[in-house]
Formats: sequence, structure tokens, C-alpha cells
Amino acid sequence: MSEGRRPLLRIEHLQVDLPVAQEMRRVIHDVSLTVAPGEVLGIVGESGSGKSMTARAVMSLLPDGARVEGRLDFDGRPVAELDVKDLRRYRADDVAMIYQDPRAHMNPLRTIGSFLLEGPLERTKAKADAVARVVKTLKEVGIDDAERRLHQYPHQLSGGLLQRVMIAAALVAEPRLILADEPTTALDVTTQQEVIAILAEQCRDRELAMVLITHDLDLAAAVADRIAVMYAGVIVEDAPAESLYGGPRHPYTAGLLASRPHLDRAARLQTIPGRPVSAYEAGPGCVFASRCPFVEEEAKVVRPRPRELDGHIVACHRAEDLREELRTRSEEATSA
Amino acid sequence: MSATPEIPVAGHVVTSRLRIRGGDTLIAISAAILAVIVLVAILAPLLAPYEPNQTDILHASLPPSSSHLLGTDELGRDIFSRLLYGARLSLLGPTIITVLAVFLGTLTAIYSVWIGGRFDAAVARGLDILFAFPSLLIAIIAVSIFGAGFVAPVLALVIAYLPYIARVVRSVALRERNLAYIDSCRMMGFSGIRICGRHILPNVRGMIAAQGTISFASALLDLAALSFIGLGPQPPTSDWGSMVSEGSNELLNGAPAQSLAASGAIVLTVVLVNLIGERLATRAARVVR
Repeated sequence: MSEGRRPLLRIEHLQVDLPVAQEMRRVIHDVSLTVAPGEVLGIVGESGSGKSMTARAVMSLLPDGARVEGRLDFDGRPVAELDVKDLRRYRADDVAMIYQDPRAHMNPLRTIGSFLLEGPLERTKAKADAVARVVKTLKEVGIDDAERRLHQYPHQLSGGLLQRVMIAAALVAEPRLILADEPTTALDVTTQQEVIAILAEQCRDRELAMVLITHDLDLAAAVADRIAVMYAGVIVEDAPAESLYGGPRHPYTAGLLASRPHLDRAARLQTIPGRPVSAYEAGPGCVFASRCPFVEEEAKVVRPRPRELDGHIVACHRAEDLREELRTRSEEATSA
Repeated sequence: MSATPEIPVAGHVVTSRLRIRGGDTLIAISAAILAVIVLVAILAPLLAPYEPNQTDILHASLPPSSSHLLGTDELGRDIFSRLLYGARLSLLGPTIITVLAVFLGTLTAIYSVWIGGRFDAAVARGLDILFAFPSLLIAIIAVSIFGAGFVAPVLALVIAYLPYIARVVRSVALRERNLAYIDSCRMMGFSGIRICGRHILPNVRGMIAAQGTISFASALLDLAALSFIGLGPQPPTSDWGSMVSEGSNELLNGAPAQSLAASGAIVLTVVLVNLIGERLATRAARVVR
């Protein structure tokens, strides 16, 4: 948490509807977030919780026909009001994105070198400098034979290498914010650790802000300063990583923490009952009401507003009552 | 930086894909024969033994002999020379049609796909409507307005063939446009022109080559048909279609050389071009999957 500094990214009451088969379906109900310069924010949630849509909304690159409400400011400027030219500049210079599947996000006909240089060469005429900078960046993300890789095609590289190339492409643009959308999900476990370590290290060294989107709470806790937990298009809890990890204030966060598998314990895996609901299926009440073990009548009809509690922002009617209950639960799950 | 690595351009992959490999001997032979035909058309003034339009009534309707390889026509013109000269217009017409139709068709298709939405839907329907008109009908309408000759049918056929190219390119480009890497290009802030020209176009050009080649063959046939019914280049200019028609009088009088030679040239060229086009199409389809 960095008080006093102006947030780099400020999202207030973002609401997104997408056209699906003739009707508008709400995919994001109410998302408010801030990211300070140099801060790493983890957004954690299950598939379909609206994490990626939030990222696309930040890029102003939602599917055709999407309806967006709420505020989305980058460095004090509302992104929705940028004209075509400024929007291109914003995407090119201010924000960079890293994807789950790097292979799909590279033109298969173009070499790694041409992929990495296309952006820099738009900005500078000095090709030799650009090449040198790209090679340097590739080495920084752990690709030693960078010169050789420049001449190879995406299909010749492994997933882990391609993801490093993707990270290098993001870093070469010298953005102020990196949006990493499940950057390690498609990689095997050992590669995951390497890639996330490189990403975290580079962001720290360059004092970049990062939004790390993941479904892996442990990963987010390891890298992020702050974690926002998303469920069915709503941010249910937003808190400093350690505090959230140690003392969740929302039943969903507690459920996620309790349902992580443990290698050192031969206990039955705890789960959250039911299946994740999509944002458009949520009723008028709390989006988590259908699966919450502590649900009461109020939560089924009135959606809880996000409010502050012990430094957490939490959207739950019973957050105060449940404080003790959730603490004991999560302690059981983490210690034991 | 003296040892700056040279970054290869996208073309490399595509050329290697179009390269003739083992097992493609048929295509190699077709391409070679086609090259000879094109060369003959270009070098016609050097190769032709006689002036193509020089009449010589004293030596009219001669059968093939050593001095006149394919004999002479009713006006005593050397059929072999006329065949060589005829290749020029017969090949130039389809070439112009193909180049213009491919250029305009690709432009229309990619622009329409890029804009998307209702604009794209309107363009697609417009192409469908154009596609419904037989190419010969469009050409005949053009001739009835602007008169017979070389220019009117060629320009009319450009319009007729545009939807053939544009529809195919649009379908492939549409698929390409929705792929993730195009999104990542947009996220990097590239302009629409750059994305279309440097990313979408190279990924659809196999299909463009295939469709263009096949259109060339059809355009050649259409032009020959128009010439045959007298709407193409006017006498004494020769082209293969009009030669088939001029020779048809003699066909039943036991002098089939002119009609047969001209039809043979048409059939041979069309078959060769189609063979190559089919192969390009299967390759493009294999790449697209």
C-alpha cells in the first residue's frame, strides 16, 4: 500500500455488459480498484469471474457491442475519452499486456525478432539501437542466446521461452503498467516459478506497476502487494496481500484459502460447495449467496456494498460478525 | 553495432511454402510449359515467320505445309503467325483482369473485415449480389454500352471477378482477424493499416494466389467466348477466341487447322493454369487448416 501517491490506475464502479445471443449480459457488476505506481496488484478469481474482462476494459479493447459504465482513469485521464490516436499511444506506451497463451498471441509467420522489434521501430529510426535494446531485454528475462532467437519463429520455441519473449516485448515498450493475464497458467510448474520470478523481479527493478490476474491465490500472495478477490463480476475483498492471506474478511476468500491442497497433510481436500456462478446468473443479492455457508436472508435480496473493515475492503453484510469465525477457519487451514 | 543481425521479413516462410518440392513434378512441368507460352507471346514478333495481318489471296486456304506450319486462312494470312500474335491479347486480357480484381477484391475484403459490424455485413451482401450475375452477362452489358473491343470486356470482367476474389479473401481474413495475435497487435497500439498490411495480408496471401490463378483461367475462357461471338478485339487483330470463330467456316470444309490450333491453345493454357491454381488452393487450405 502506498498512501499519498496518486494512483496510476483508478477504476470506479466499472460495470460491463456484453451482447450474447440478442441480449445484454452483465459480466462485471461493480469493480473498483486502484493501482499505485510501482505497486503489484493481484486479481484472484475463478474462471468467468470477470478478471480478464477487467483487463480488457483497462485496455479499452472489449468485444464489439460491449456497454461500459463507470470510471476508468489512467494517470488521471479517463481512458474512455481518449481519441483514436491517443488511445493507440496509450496502448503502445503506457500499458503492456502479457497473456496466458503467448503462442496464440504472436503472428506465426513472423520471427521473434520481427515481433519484438515492430513496436520499438514504430518509435525510433535507429534500428541498431532498437536491436541492441531488444537483445539486452531478452537477456534480462533469461534468454542467453538472444541473437539466435531473434531469427527463430514462434513454433520453434517452447512455451516457457515464448512467455519470456512476451515479457520482453512488454518490457521493451517501457510501459508504466503491465497487465499480466494468467501469465503462468499454460506453463509447467517449474517453468511457472521461473517465469513469475523473472516477471516480479523486472517489475521491481523498473518500478513498474503490475496487475497480475490469476486463479492461484498462493501465486498472487507471493508476488503481489495487494490482492483483490473477484467472484461473479464483483470484487468481494481487496486487501494487502499478507493481511488477506492471514485473515480473510470475506467468506469466499476464506473458502478459497481453505480449499488449497496441502502436500504435508493427509487430509481430505476442502472445497466450496456448489459451482461458480457466472456474473449474469447472480441474483439481486450477494453474488456469493448461493454458496456461502454463512448466508442470511438479507444477503439473498440486498447486494452488500464494498466497505472498509480492518484495512480490508470487503463486500459482505456479516463481515464484522464473521471476523472470529473466519480467522479460526483460515488458521486451521494454513497452520495445522 | 557493426554486426547487427538482419531481421528476415515475413516473405521467407511464404516463399518456402510455395517452393516446388519433390512430388510436384506435374506442377513443375505445367509451370514450365506455361512459361514457354508466355515467352512465345512476348517474343511473337521475333518468332512469327509472317506478318499476322498480311493478306495474300493467291495463297488463301492452304493446308499445313513446311512454309506455312498451320496453313493459311481464307485471306491467305499465316495461321501460325496469327496464333503467336493472338497469344498476346489472349494472355494480356486475363492478366489485367486478374491483377485488378485481386487488388481491388483484396482491398475491399480486408478493409471490410477490419471495419466489421454493419459495414462488413453490407459489403458481404453487395458481393453476393454481384456474384449472382454471370460474368459474361456483365461483359455483354458493358459491350452494349461502350462498344466491342478489348477494353470494355476486360473492365467489365474485372468487376465480375472482384467478388470471386473478395468473398474468399474475406472469409479467410475474417478468421484471421479474430485470432489472438491480432488482439495483441491492437494492444500494442499498432494502426489498423499496419495490422492489415503486415499481419493479416501475409497470412491470407496463399488463398489470394490460389483464387487469383483460378480466376485467370476463367477470365481467359470468358474473353475467348466474347471474342468468339464477335464482342472482343475487332478484325484484323487476332486473338484465340476470334480465331476459333473465323476458322469455324473452314472447319467443315476439311481445313480445321485454324479452329483446332486456337482452341488447342486455349484448352492447353486453361488446363495448365488450373492445375497450378488447384495446387495452390490445396496448399493454402492446408495452411489454413
